[in-house]
Amino acid sequence: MKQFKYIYTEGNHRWAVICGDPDRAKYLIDTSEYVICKDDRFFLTDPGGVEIFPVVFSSLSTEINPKNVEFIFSSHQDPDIISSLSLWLEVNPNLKCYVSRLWVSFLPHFGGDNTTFISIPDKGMKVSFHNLELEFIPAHYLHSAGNFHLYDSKAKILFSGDIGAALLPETSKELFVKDFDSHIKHAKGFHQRWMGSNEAKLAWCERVSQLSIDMLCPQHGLIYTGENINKFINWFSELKVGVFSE
Amino acid sequence: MKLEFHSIIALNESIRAIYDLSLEIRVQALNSLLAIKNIKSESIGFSAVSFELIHFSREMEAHSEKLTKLIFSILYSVTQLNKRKKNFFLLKKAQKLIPSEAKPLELILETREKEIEKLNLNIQEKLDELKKAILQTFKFCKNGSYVTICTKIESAHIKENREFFRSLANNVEKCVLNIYHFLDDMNKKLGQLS
Repeated sequence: MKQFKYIYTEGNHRWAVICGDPDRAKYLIDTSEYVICKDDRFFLTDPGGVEIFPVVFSSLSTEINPKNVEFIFSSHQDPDIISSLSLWLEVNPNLKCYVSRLWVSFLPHFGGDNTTFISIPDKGMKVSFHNLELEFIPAHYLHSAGNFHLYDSKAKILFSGDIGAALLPETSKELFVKDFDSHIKHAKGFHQRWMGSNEAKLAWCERVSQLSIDMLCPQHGLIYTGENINKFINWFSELKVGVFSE
Repeated sequence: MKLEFHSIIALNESIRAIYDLSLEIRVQALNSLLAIKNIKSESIGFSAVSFELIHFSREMEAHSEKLTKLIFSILYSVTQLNKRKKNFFLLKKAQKLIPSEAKPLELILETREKEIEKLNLNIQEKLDELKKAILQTFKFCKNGSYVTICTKIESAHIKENREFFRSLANNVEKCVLNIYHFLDDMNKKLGQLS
């Protein structure tokens, strides 16, 4: 089963990561789900694909009441991000899902209806989650045409979707990046191929450089902390993306 | 009952074939009317059966449209059922994985199980309706057989261009026999599903 680990706690405001399923079918890409907790209300980021719903749900249920998951943030439209939506709606039919305006009419193919989705405008927006300010940061074309990241200025955590993702060996048991140079090798090919625009990449680097970030949390792989965050932004800004090589 | 998509698609293909055969009968009948224009007194009987064939073809089309509607309705329900079954399976798996005594999904699972039962019943009802519709089409097809015999008889009375009319009557007979064949096939397929 996946592990549910708190990565930030400040009073009744917490962040948790659901990660590392040793029994995961190897044909499925590994994902990390993040839960923002405010009192006993929860905000889930990129809840994952339909096939991993049982392990994500059961892991989450060991720590929190799943019926109190009020919001889902879908960074983009991919199946490993949000195809489990219909199952989360079974648990809480009133749940709302934040997603780029581009995908509002596409995601109902996974579940939900016109009452489920809250459209995020291209420029991003700020929302209040039980008095906690969260901001959707634009990351269009990185890699999806309508792509956002989620920033919690109080916790100084940036959920960065596929940016920062690394396809790690199965043996990896870490949660945080320790040795940047050895870690980034597992991220290079992914970013070169999946991130489609150098212009968008530089705009994103510029944008997030202005944020105060203690943790950069991607949907695949390890969490970046401390100096590794700037190392990553610098590395990414210099990386040529949109590269296809056979 | 084990109703798979490919079984429904196979049924739909049979209906499509029936529809095409009905159309072919109409084309044959229209061709015969054109040919009859060049013949005089002895063609009255054949004209009459040609119009009968056109009528039969139109009615057969209406029957196949009804069958198509039923098939699509079944396809829709089976899609809904499969979606719910998949969700039910995953929710049940999640429930089993929760190590604590808490069973947060119990009520949802109960409700979904009832929905699945209801959908299964609904599909069964629709399948019964489809069987009835096939039976009605079978009965109607007998009219086609009767018109086919008349076509053959009338073609024997025509002296001028007899081969053309004889061959046309044979083609129509083949079409009707094929319609019977497809209906029988559908009936068998449905029998296997029940």
